[in-house]
Amino acid sequence: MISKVTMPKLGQTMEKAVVEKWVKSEGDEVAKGDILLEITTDKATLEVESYHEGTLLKIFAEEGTEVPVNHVIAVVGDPGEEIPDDIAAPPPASAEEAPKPSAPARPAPAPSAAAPAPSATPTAAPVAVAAAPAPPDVVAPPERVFSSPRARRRAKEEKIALDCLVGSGPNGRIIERDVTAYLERLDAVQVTPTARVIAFQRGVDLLKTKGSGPNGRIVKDDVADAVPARGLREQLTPMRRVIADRLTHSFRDIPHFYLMMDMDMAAVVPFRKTLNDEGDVRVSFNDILMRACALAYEDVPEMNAAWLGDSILIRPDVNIGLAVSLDKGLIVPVVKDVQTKTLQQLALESADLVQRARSKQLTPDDYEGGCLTLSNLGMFDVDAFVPIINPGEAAILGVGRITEKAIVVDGMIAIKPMMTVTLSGDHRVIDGAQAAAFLKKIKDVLVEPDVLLE
Amino acid sequence: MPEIEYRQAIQDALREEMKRDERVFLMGEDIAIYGGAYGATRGLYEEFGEERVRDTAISEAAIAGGAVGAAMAGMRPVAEIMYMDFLTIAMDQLANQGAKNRYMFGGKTTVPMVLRTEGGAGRCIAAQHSQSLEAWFLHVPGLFVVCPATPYDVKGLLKASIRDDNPVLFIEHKLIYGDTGEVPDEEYLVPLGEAAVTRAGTDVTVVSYSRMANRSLEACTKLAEEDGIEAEVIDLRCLKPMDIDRVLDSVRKTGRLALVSEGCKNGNAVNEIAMRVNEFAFDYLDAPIKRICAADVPIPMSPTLEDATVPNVDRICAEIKEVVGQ
Repeated sequence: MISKVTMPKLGQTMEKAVVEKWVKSEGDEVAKGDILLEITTDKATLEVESYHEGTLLKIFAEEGTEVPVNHVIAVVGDPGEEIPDDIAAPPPASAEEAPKPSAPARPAPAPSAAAPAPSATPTAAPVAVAAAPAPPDVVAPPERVFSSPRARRRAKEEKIALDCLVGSGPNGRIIERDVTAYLERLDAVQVTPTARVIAFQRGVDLLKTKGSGPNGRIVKDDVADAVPARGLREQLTPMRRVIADRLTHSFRDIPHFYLMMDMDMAAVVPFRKTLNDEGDVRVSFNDILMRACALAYEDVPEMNAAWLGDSILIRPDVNIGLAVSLDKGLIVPVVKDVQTKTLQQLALESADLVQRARSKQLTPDDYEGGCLTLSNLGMFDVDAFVPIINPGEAAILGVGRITEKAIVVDGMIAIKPMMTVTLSGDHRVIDGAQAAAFLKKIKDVLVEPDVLLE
Repeated sequence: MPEIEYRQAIQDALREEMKRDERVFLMGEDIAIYGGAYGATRGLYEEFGEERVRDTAISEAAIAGGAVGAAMAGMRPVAEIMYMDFLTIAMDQLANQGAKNRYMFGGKTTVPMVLRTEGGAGRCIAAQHSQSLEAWFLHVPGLFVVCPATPYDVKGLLKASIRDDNPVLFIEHKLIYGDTGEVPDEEYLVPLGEAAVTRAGTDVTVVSYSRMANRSLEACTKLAEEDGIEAEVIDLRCLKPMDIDRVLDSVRKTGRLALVSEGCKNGNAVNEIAMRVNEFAFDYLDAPIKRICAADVPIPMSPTLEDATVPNVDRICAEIKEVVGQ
């Protein structure tokens, strides 16, 4: 029996997604619950399970295409079974375009959490998330490209970078006719002389460059930024594109202000040790901070705000995001209703979220609806840093390491474990005084951590 | 214009030069009474007598040495070596004496001699009578090397060689003595060191000489008809002095070069052309230069093997297609 596989709607705001990678191929046997494919929404990469049993007969949506929800992306049936004509391939939502999130334009009260905080990946690692359709100007991996002396001479005369040419000669050698063919196509392109020279010097392919001048003329700026002369170019992963778009939006459109406060951790450190020694659940400093934030929100409820454009929403629930770094990128799963949960509950829940984030098993509901993000770089020996707000939220806490410092207490120098916290706030919805009160409350809680158990 | 045979054109050239200049005389094995192994001197003995058309002993060293001496003494000898394979025996006189004397005597003497010979395969007469050894002589400063392919060229070049004050090795080809071609009645010379473009084209330059110039032209005509490849064919006519400018101009136009020769590939005369193109027109090359030459083996006597050894029209076509990338 023929069963349609459709693009699932995995979140309230999800309208479309990019087919990231097919785990199953045409002809494969599939059982219910088998992972069929991975998709990337504007927020995350997710696995899609099969609801059907049979043979994957036909894949309609190729990897890299963007498909609206509920559109047919494949069919499962019996081997050799005919696929009815009315099950047609869905038109890609936009075949040319790489996946672009629609979120930033919308001042949403319950926005997502894909990407907050400063880049959390300390070192580069191979891309784990498969590639979106290649942006047009991606340079091939560096390998020796052969070209005839004549082609090189002609290309130089005509100011054409060899990088732009595809060889049609033996061994893929670039020969004169390849230069000629390129020039013929270039005839149709309007380029300023300066842009032409820069394109030549930097190896920019003018045929793939969009002109921003009058009548689409390619001008200096179009080529000047196009390609760095050296280095390995990587395609944007959908996640990286989401991070770029959302954080650009955040940093450009949200008026950030920053408060830094040193927290005395002398009481919390033994408090946590006792807790962990006596209990089965390992409570982290993040869990403690989450709980402290919930108490601070109790005192300063105006902090739990979201900008709606023409009004401000004050929310009753405390939902706190945790910035989790991934191989390449990061994601912010959200712990919901923090105000109702014990430290142990928070610890279990956050550990589960982090684990599922790293194995790409989060569902959109797991990373939506946050009011504040905790971003902790203490494990990387960062003392303090200034994070960027995760759009939709009013604030983000940048948490540095706990380290012993010499501080002055009652006119005496004392050595205490200290931690610097930086709060970045959205000045449209909150002001410095509220944020300061919020931070002060956290500081007070940490000095007397027993209140966390109440 | 009358059509005459290659051998007739040689006779005519010799006759005209002997009439024009009394110092011109002929010597060689069986050139007088017999008229030459390939008939190139037929009738001249009867016309000019035994003083000016002289049969010699079977000694290539004596023929070449006698010619060098006569030339230095003021004569303009045209000596014949029946097969160029036998030039090994004449080599000392030619390379060490004839080629060097003008230089070593500080210009006080000249050696205005022509050593006619013939080379090439095609008659199933095996490895000692079929060679194309022209490359050897390019290596000796002071010698000119001429390799005419047509009746017109052989006549004009032979007359020019006889009038030139340098020793000239004049290499005919044993298979083209019977070829006919248009030759004007009126006198003309073909200057030494001037190549002929026998077919204009834009896709590839094909350079050759002697019999292979004719085969190259035939092959390229076929390529134009059957494959749409427009080759420019150049008959060098002289290997030394070499009209490299004509070749360079053509390569700058076409970007590709195929060199066709009946000599063995290893150390072939055309290697010199490839090298000069590399030196002077490297930036114009769109494909590697190709040599289409004889295999590096002694020429076999078997007709099948002989044909397989020396470039034929099919092979020339196939290899030119490779250069063009088809």
